[in-house]
Amino acid sequence: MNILEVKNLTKQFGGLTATSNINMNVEKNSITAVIGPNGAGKTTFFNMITAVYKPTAGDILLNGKSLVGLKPHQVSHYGITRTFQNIRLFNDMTVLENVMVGMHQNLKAHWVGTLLQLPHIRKMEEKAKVEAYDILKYVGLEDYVNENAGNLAYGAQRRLEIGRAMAAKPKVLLLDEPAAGMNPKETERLTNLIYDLRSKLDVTIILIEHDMKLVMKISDFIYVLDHGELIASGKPDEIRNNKRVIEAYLGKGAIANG
Amino acid sequence: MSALFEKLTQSKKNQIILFIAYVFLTGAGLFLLPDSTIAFLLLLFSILILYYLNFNLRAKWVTGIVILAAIVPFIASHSDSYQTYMEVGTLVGIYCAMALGLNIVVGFAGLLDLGFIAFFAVGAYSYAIFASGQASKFMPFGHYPLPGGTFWIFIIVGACVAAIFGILLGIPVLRVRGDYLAIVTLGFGEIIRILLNNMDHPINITNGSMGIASITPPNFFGISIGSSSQFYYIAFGIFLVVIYVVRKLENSKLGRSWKAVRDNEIAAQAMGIPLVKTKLAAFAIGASFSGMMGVVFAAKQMFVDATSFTYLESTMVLVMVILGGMGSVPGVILGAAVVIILRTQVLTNISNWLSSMSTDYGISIPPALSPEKMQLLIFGLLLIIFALYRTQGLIPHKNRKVDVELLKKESEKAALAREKATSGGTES
Repeated sequence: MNILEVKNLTKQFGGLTATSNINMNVEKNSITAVIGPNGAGKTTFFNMITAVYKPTAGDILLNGKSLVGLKPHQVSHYGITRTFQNIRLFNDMTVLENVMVGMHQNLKAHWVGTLLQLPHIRKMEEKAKVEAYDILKYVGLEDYVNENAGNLAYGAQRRLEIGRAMAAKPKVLLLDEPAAGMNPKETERLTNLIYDLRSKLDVTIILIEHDMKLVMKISDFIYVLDHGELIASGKPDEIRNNKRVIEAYLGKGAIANG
Repeated sequence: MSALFEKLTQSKKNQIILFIAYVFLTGAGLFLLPDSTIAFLLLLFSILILYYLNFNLRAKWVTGIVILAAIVPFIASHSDSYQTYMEVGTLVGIYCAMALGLNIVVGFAGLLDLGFIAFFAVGAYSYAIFASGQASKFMPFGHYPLPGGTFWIFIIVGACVAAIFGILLGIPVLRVRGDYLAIVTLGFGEIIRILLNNMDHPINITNGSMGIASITPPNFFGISIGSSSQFYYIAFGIFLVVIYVVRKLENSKLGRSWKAVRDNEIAAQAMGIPLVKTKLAAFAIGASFSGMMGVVFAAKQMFVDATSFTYLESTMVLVMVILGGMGSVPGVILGAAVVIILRTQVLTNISNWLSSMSTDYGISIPPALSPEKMQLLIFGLLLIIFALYRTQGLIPHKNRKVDVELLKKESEKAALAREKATSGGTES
């Protein structure tokens, strides 16, 4: 069953076409990778799904419902959450608070109730804290609960971003270069985390990534973009041997290594 | 010396004894010395000391409230300048509440507002117009001035009107950020001031530059409230409410949303935080504190005109927030107290002392150099010094820390409960 369908998605910035006519079907509970050289339009594609940009043409359907024209926070309420290529944490808030912000759409707390200190709101806050702590334990940050997010090491910040996105309990999780700047050991840890996420949280994952070893290992399906166009799609093995992909992106060495 | 001090202050018992001794000494000073401004300030300073003691939170609150609501007014009432002291206390209360309101906008939500005094003006005028004969000049029905008992309702009305103006300001400025936001809010502040100054024609609503005089003083069960010592309690009461609201909101869902928007708008939206609603809430709630205190200000002065709400006043409130520490509630309160006391007490006293020097010893200081006239220079220098050496303010903001051990325990308990539930489910 397809959870996310993208139809003829096009984005133009003035005269520049960032993406044109992209079609994509993402199966529920799968891991899909979007790869391509820099400037291929991968992040633009993510930005359109999360409503940061409005597409010039085309449609995005989540479980058959169109997301085009919604505000970014509404898309999040529909069940799509993301991480960012250049990490965007709430740097002056604690690690725990960062995760709690991720939970916001599941917390029903009117500010009037907060002021009156209604018991159910206090209980909910306490429960949210424990849940946030569980998530931090899951991504391996339980020792930094009270630390400011901006003080964390790079790899830890990436994991916190994933933790924050998890807290929103999304149906579709978009990861924008989650392994960028990580060392091999950290990448391996991340790979396991992504695997685990899918099985545990019943979430569909779409990721942009340049680390081909990671992509080939975890993806069920791969889409390749170049100059804003979809040049290939298929299972990892098909992509690895696709002539156009090798020409545009992978390079001849990839065949030897793969 | 410092080692001795450390030893003395280590145990809780010693701390309590020293604190009581301090309050007693400064109180006695205020009681015995004539014109004892310094003793009065030192007595107020005890609140700051209290903040740094190792008591539990509730004990601190109770002690602080007792000192401010009973000890300070009681001792000051035996002094010649009782009303002056209480006037300073009232002003500190008024500006503290305003600074806490601006702190929500600037410190929590990260929206620089240079026209904050406009909300204070709106609150002040909303009481002034209806509690004087002014309303009868344009209202077709009703008898004006309204009786002093309506003051208490007008505190709420002032808050609501200011909140509405906060939203009115918020809607157009949501599209701009940073420097542009600062300029638009500055313009808004000036627009409100100029409107108030000119709304005497074609319909006379604000009486223009003449201002509105003879505002009915508040009435509390038949007692007419006119003196500073009485307004002190009103300001103090509202101030306590404001602190309560701010502290509860700061660590709530809304408070976290504000901080998230401040730290990263795009990420906040991606996490499902509605930008417009969150920012408008900050503007509205911040403005409402200011509006409430505006009503108190109008009733206290019994006269309002547009000159009380200049751009300079907006800057002063902003200085309080920056000096104290953006986003830090105790810091902002301290900042407001420091600025007000500097303005009303320290600078005037130094000026008086300098002028007495010139008469006693023949040292003449040109009046243009008197500290009272150099307020702007002094506050400007203060800001520069803080920007260079203490960017975080007097009491820097700290995020509330959670008890990790407790969380760990709770988390284990919850895991156990889940396990039980699933295993129970399979058995049955």
